[in-house]
Amino acid sequence: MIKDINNIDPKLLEEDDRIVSFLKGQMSSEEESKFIAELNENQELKEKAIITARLVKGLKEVGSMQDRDIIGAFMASSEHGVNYAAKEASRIEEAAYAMEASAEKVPYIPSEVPAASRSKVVPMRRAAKWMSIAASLFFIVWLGVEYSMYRRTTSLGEQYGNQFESSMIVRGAEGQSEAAKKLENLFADVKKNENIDDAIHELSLYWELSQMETYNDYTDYSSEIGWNLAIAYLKDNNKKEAKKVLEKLIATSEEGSAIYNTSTQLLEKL
Amino acid sequence: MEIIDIPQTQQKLNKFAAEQWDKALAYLQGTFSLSRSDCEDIFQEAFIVLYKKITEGELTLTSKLSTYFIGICRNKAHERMRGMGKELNIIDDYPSSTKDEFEDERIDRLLALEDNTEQIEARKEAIVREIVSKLPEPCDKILWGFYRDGFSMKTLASMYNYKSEGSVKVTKHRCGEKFKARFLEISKRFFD
Repeated sequence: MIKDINNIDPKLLEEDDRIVSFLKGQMSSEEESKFIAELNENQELKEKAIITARLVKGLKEVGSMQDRDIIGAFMASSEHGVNYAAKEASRIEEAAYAMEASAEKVPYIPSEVPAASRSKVVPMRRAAKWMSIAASLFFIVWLGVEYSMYRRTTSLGEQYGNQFESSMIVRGAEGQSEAAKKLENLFADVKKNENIDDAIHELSLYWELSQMETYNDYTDYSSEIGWNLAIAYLKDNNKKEAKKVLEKLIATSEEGSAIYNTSTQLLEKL
Repeated sequence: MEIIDIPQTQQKLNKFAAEQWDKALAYLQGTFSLSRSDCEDIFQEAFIVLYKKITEGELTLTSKLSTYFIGICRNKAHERMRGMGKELNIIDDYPSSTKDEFEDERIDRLLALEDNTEQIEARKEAIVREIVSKLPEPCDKILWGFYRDGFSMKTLASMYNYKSEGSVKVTKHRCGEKFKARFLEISKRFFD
């Protein structure tokens, strides 16, 4: 039987709209009082309203973080890099296309136009081409510098990645909790530099949970989670986030401990 | 073949540009009926305008960055239409920065209905942040587009090729259900 995905109780869609109206403050006072009263009586509507509020709040928070991150990327970039991104996105792939295109846009001067008139345009065209070459060279040098920084950061991740292999991470398979098994798999991914994006996502969540005041499945593994998260960030060339994690790791570790000393040493190298 | 690594800053810009391009193209073609080539020009000019506003400290972000960027594309499209001598009799569904915002105070009022301790609430928020940053298709587009960017059902239908606003509404509802199921699944692991 073919399932009609659009076959849905219109009442449910109406509830979605009402929750959105409430959250945007678009209800009349009468509608709002009725809605609040219904929330107290209708458990399903209440749950739906709460989960929608959670979703909106989460999107706002993550969105703001992403915006700040993108603004940082703009600040750290050059006009050429920005131009390149825009052209790549709109499917024009040549990195140096922008300057070439501006050279091509200089109006075509037919041969019957007197040479005196042409002479003003041709040097401009030549200058634009030189500028194009210069910009391309600059871009290549810039890429080279960025690449060298990239290599430096990721190689630190490789270098320090195995630091605690035998002393901390391996706890033995016997009697391991679900959380420990999960972490062990994630640590293995970080070590092998596999699924690094997923590992970062998962570890950042567990890192946050492990730092909470209330005891939970991840509290005991806080140092390992933090350390592996920092290494994963380095392997992903994200020096900024790696530094943040290391700083927190140092602040929460016992002075003189192996994790404290190694994190301090790594942070200094960054 | 050797794979050349692209620096992270450039990767971020490329990703942001790719996401914005899809939205901008659909919006500019849907609203102004511009050619793809015009849309490309507008998009590239708008990207540089955004860069200059950021680096010259002129960015006053009262809305989300992506909404702000589409706003620049919109202004550029208006300029271009005027330049072409076309009349601007357009019904524009562009989200304004002040109306249609979800109010923090109202979000908190609904969350307070659960009466969680501060620690439990913080954990739940961490779980939500984790889920929303990895939403699968098409929920990433619809939920982010509706709840964060403030696009209407009509705009989303045109942006992502849905046959009607109703289809977007249904997809949004289904995505909301999926989000809830995922949230409950992860919460169960932490709180049970």
